[in-house]
Amino acid sequence: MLVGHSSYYLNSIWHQLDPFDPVFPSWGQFALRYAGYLCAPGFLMMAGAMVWWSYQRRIKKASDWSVRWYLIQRGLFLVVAQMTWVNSSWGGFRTFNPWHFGIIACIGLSMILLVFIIKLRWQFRLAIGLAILVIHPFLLNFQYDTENILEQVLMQTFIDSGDFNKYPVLPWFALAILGSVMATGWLSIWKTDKKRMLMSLGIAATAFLLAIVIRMGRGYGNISPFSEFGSWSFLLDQKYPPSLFMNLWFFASVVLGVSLFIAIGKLSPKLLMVFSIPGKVPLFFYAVHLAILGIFVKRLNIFYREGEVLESLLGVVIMLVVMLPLCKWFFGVKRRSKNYFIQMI
Amino acid sequence: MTILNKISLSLIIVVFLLGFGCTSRIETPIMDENSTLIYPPKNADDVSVKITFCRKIDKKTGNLVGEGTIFTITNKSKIQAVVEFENLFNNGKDKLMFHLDWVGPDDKSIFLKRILLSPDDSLSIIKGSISVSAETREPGKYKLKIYYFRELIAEKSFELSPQPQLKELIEKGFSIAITLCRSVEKKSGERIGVDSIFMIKGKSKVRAYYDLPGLVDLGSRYLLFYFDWIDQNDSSFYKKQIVIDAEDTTSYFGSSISIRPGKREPGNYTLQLYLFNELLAEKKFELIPEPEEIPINLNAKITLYRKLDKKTGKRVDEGAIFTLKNKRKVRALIDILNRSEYIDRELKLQLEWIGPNGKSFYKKKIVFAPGDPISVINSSISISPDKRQAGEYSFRLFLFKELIAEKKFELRL
Repeated sequence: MLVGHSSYYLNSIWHQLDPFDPVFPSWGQFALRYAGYLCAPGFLMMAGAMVWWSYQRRIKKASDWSVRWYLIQRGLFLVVAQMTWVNSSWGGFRTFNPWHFGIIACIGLSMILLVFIIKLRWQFRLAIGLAILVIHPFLLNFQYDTENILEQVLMQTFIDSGDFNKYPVLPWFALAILGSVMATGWLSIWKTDKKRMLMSLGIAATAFLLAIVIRMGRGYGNISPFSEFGSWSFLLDQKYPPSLFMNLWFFASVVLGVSLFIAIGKLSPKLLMVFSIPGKVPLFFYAVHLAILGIFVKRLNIFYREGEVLESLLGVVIMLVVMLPLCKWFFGVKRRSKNYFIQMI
Repeated sequence: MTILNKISLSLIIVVFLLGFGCTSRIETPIMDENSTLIYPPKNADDVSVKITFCRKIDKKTGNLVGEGTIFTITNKSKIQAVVEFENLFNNGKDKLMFHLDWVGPDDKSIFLKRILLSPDDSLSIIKGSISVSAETREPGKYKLKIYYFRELIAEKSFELSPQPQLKELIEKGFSIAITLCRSVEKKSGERIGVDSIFMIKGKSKVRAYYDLPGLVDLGSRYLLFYFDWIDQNDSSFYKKQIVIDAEDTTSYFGSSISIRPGKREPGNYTLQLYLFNELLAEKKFELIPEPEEIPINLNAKITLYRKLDKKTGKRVDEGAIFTLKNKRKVRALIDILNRSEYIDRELKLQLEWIGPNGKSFYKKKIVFAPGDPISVINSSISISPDKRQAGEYSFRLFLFKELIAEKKFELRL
C-alpha cells in the first residue's frame, strides 16, 4: 500500500499511467506498480479474517446481535471515512468530494455483508465466496449507461469499476469471505504454526495452479490477453474490476504472504516489529499517511510526481520513519481511550 | 532450517520470479535509421516496429503527405502516425495487445489507445492521430510510445512549432495581393487576361495566383494557406488548401474556378486567401454574362479561276470548267461581302474541296478574330492528271460547320 501510494505521489509515471489499462516503460516501474496490487486483496482478506475473529471473541461476552451491530457500525464507519476523510485527503483536503467510493468503503460494505454470514460454517462461507468469484465474470457482461447516475452507482458499487468506484463490492467481498475462511483455519482449526504453514502453502499452491490454468485457458476468468506465461501482460490481467485469475492469484499471494510472516515470526521475530506496529492501527496508518502525502506532496507541490522508482522507494522509507512513531503513539491512545470514534479508527 | 521452511522459501522464490514478470525486450534502446527509439526484442523473430509521422494520408492513394517530425500547430489539423509492424503473429499468438500513447511536452499522457489485433485482421499497420489545434496543443516536443503487451517497444519524438504570425510574415515580404487572370501560357507561364472582370462563357475559368516572396527563413515551419471563393450571395462555394513546406522552393501557388454558363451567375464575387485561418489577402472580381448571340448571315462570293496574271493582276480563265494539265491549278477566291457587319465577332470558317466521288480531299480551317478586317480568302488545288481525274467537283464554304456557299466545277482531260 505504502509503496503504491508513495509511487502515486512521487513517481512521474503517474502523469501517463492509466490504472485501468496500465503500460510500463521499464521493469522497475512495472514491479513498483505490481507490488501495490497485493494491497487490496490483502486488505479485504485481512478484514474478513478480522470480522471472523472479532465475532468469535466478542460473542463470548455479548449477544449475537450486539456483536453483529458493532461490526456493522465499523463497516459503516469505514464507508463514512472513505466519503469524508479519505476522498479529501488524496488531494490534500483541497476539495470535499463525498460522492466517490474506494477501497475503504469497499472494505466497510464487505464487512457489513460478511456480518450476515459470519456464523456459517467455513465450508458454507467458502462455497459462497467461490460462487461469487465464479459468477462475477458473467456479471461483467451486463451493459449499462455510465452517464446514468443510478446505473453507474449500482453497477460500480457492486460489479464493475469506473469513475465512481474502482473497487466493486462483489469480487472483493468474495475475498473477504475467503479471508474469514482462512482465519478459521489459521486461528481455530490449525493448532500449530507448522500446520498453519503447511496448510497455507498447500492452499496457496492450489490457488496459484488454478489461477494459472484459468489464465492459460485464455477464456473464462480472463479479461485482457497476454503474450506468454510469466510476462507482464500475464500477471496484469485486470485489477479494476479484478478478473477471476487476479482474484485467485492474489488470494494465493496473500495466503503465501501470511505463511511467510509465520515463517519470519519463527525465524526472526524482531523483523515482524516493523509490520506489527501499523498492523495494530491499520486505518490510522492508512488515513494519516495518505493525508500527509496529499497535503505535503500534492497540495504543497513538493516533488509531486517528479521522481521515478528510486524516489518512490525513498518515499516509502521516509513515510515509514514518520508513520511508525505516530502509529505507536496512536496505538497507545487507542488502548487508553474509551472514545467511540477513537475506538473505531 | 526445517523442511517446512525450505519449502516455504522455495515457493516464495518461485512466486517472486513469477510475480515480478519477465520482459521480452532489451531495456537499452537503440535508434533506428527512421529516428525511432527501439527496444529490441530478446527473441529476434518477435514483433518489431517502425513509426512514421505525417500531416495526412491521401484517401485515394494511401500515400503519406507531409512526412516528418516537425509540424506546425494549426487549427482543424491533425498529425497522423503510421505504425508498421514486423513479425506479427510469428509466435502463434491468437490476439495481440498494443497501446499507442501520445505524450505531451510535460511528459503527461495526452491520449492512450488500446488496440487488439487478431490474425483475422490481416493488418500490419496501425494508424493513429491527434489534433494539433492551437486550442489543445502547446508548442514543444511530443512523443508517441508504442507498447506491446504492456511493454514499451518503441517511441518516436516529434515537434510542434507555433504558427508564424501574419504580421511577422508580411514584414518578411509576404504580399497581400492576389492576381486574377483568364489563362496562363503553358510554356512561359505568362498570365493572360489579368483583370477583375470576367465573362461567363464556354469553358472559361478564373485563375487566381499568389506570389510568394523569395527565400524567407521560416525555420522548420510550414505554411498552410487556403483560398476561399465567395459568390455574389456572400456564400463560400469552394475552398482550396495549399501547404507550403519549409523546404518548398515554389514561387507561387494558385486556384481556379470554372465560369461556364449555368455554373456561375453574374455578379460580384470575392476571393479570400487565408494563412493559418487569418485573412492574408482579398480580391473582388465581377462575372459578367456573355453578350447575346446575333445570328450570322454571311454573304460570301466564290470565284474559281486558273491563275492570276502577275502583270495585270487579273484572274485568268474564270469559270467552272478546267482542263487537267501538269503543274496547273484551280484557285478559289472567297470574298466575304458583309464582313464589316460582324467585325466584332469571331468567325470560324472551313473550306472543303470535294471530288467526283463526293468526298472531301482537302480541308482548310480559317478563323477571323474579332476586329480583324480581312474579308478575302484564297485556296487552291493542283489539277495535274496524276493527282486528279476528270469529273464533277465542288468547292464548299462552311461557317461554324454550317454550309453557307458552294461552287461546282468540272475537270476535263
